[in-house]
Amino acid sequence: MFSFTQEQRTYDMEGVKVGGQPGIHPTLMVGTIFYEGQFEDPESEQEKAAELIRKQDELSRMTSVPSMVDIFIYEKEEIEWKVDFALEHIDGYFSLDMPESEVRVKVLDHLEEIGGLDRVIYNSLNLGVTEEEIEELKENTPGGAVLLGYNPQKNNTQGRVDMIKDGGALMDQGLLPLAREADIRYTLLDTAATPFGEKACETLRAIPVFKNEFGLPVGCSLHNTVESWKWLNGYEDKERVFETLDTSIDNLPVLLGADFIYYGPIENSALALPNMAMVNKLIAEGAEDYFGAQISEDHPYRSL
Amino acid sequence: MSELYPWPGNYEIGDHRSPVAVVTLSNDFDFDPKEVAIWGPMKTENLGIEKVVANVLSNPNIRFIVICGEEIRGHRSGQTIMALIENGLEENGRIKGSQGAVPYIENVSHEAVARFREQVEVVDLLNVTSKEKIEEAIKRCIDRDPGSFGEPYTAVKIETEDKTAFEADFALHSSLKVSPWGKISSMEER
Repeated sequence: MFSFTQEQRTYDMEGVKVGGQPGIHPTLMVGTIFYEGQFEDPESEQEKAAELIRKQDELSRMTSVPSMVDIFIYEKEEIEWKVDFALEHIDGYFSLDMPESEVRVKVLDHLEEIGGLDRVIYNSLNLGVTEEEIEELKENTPGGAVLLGYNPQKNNTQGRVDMIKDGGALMDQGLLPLAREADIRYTLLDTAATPFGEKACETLRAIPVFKNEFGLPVGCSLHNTVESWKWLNGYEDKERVFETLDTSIDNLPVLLGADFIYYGPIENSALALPNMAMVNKLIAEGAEDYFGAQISEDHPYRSL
Repeated sequence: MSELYPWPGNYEIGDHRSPVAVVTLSNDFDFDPKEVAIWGPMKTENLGIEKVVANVLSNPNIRFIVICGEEIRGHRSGQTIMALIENGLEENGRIKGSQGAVPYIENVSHEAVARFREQVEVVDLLNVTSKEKIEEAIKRCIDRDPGSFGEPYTAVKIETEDKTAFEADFALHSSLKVSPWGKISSMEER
C-alpha cells in the first residue's frame, strides 16, 4: 500500500528476513510461550510447549510466513530451565520476554556463561532500563533487541519516537543510541501497544512514522489492546470472537508497513500465520504491480 | 465508569460511604457492597495505578486501601502501589522504591498523588488470596474509620496536547508527507 523514500534496512537473521520496503518480505510473526496462566506447572509441561513450537514451525513452512518464539521469563528462579529449553528446542533466534530489569541482567549473565547470547532477541530495552543493565548489555551483548517506544509521559506518536531517539523528558539518552553503544546488531522497534483509551491508535500511527524516521524494522503487539477491551468480557461468544479479533488486529499495522508482529499466545499460530499469509500476499501483489518491488523468493505471494 | 468514579476501569462499586477500597491485583474477588466502596483487579504498575489513584481521590470517604491477591508477575503492581504510598514520586514521575517494570505516574499530577498518599492508609495483604482474611481486614478498617477526608478531589487526566483538526493538510501524521500514490516521505522534503 505504501512505499518509503527513506532507505529501509533489512536484517537477515539466519535466513529470516525482516524489514525493508512494505510487501517485499513476509511479516515475521512472533508467538509467545510460557506466559502467565498458559500452563499449570510450566516446568513439567515442557513437552507441550515444544509441541506448540513445532506446530508454529510447521505453519511457517506451510505458509512461507516466518516465525520466531518469544519466551516469558518472569522470575530469576525460572531463568535456567527456560533458557535451556530455548537452546534445546529452538533453531536460530528466539526472543526472551523479561519484564523485570533484574531478571534481564541475570539472563545476560547466564547466557554469557553457557553460550547463546548471539541468538537472543532481548525483549525489551525500555524506559525501565537501569544503569546496571546498561553496563551489562555492553559487556554481555545479545544478538538483537526489541526497543519499546512506550512513553507514559507523552504517549502520542511523537512521544514514542522521542523514547527511541533521545529518551524524551524521561531518559538522558534514547533507546536506539543506547542499543548502538552496546553494539546490539539487530534492533527491532516496537511502537508499544497501549490500551483503548490510552491513545491505542497511536500504536498504529507510529508504524509509518518510525519507518520514515529510523528506516529500521518496526512492529508491535496489538493483541494486548484487544485484551484491554472490557466489553468483550461480557460477550456471549467471547472466545470465538476474541480469537478472531486477536488475529485480525494484526492486519492493521502490517497494512501501514509493519515488519514484525508479536501476535500473542503461540497457540494461535494456526490462525495467525495463515491470516498473515493472506495479508502479505495482498500487499506484495500491490507492491510489485504498483511500486515495481522485487518480492522475495520465499513469500506466500509465490508459494500459496 | 460512574459519576463518583470518573476514570473508567475494571471495578465494582459498593456503598460510597464505606472507608475501604480493595485492589485485588490478579484475582477476581467479590465483596459485600455494603462494606467496600470500590474494588477490582489492577494489572499494570503505571496506567492501572493512575486509575486507582484518581478514583480513590474522587471519594473522600475512602481512607483505607487494601492491596491483596496474587502479585502481577513482571509488573509488580502491588509492590509498586505500596511503594507509591510509602515513598511518593521522583521528579520525573518514577515511583520511588518500585520493583516494577515501568513504574511511572504521568497522567495525574504530583499534587494529586500527594493527596492520595495523605488520604489513604495501605493495608498490605500482598499475595493473600484467602477471602476470609481479606474480609477480616476490611472489617478492621471499618471499625477504625476516621471519617471523610474532606471535599472530593477530581484528578484531571493530563492530556498530551496533540489534537489535530480534520482540515489538516496531511495524512497519517504531521511528520509525514503521503503522496496520492502512497509514497511516504518526511514533511520537510516537500
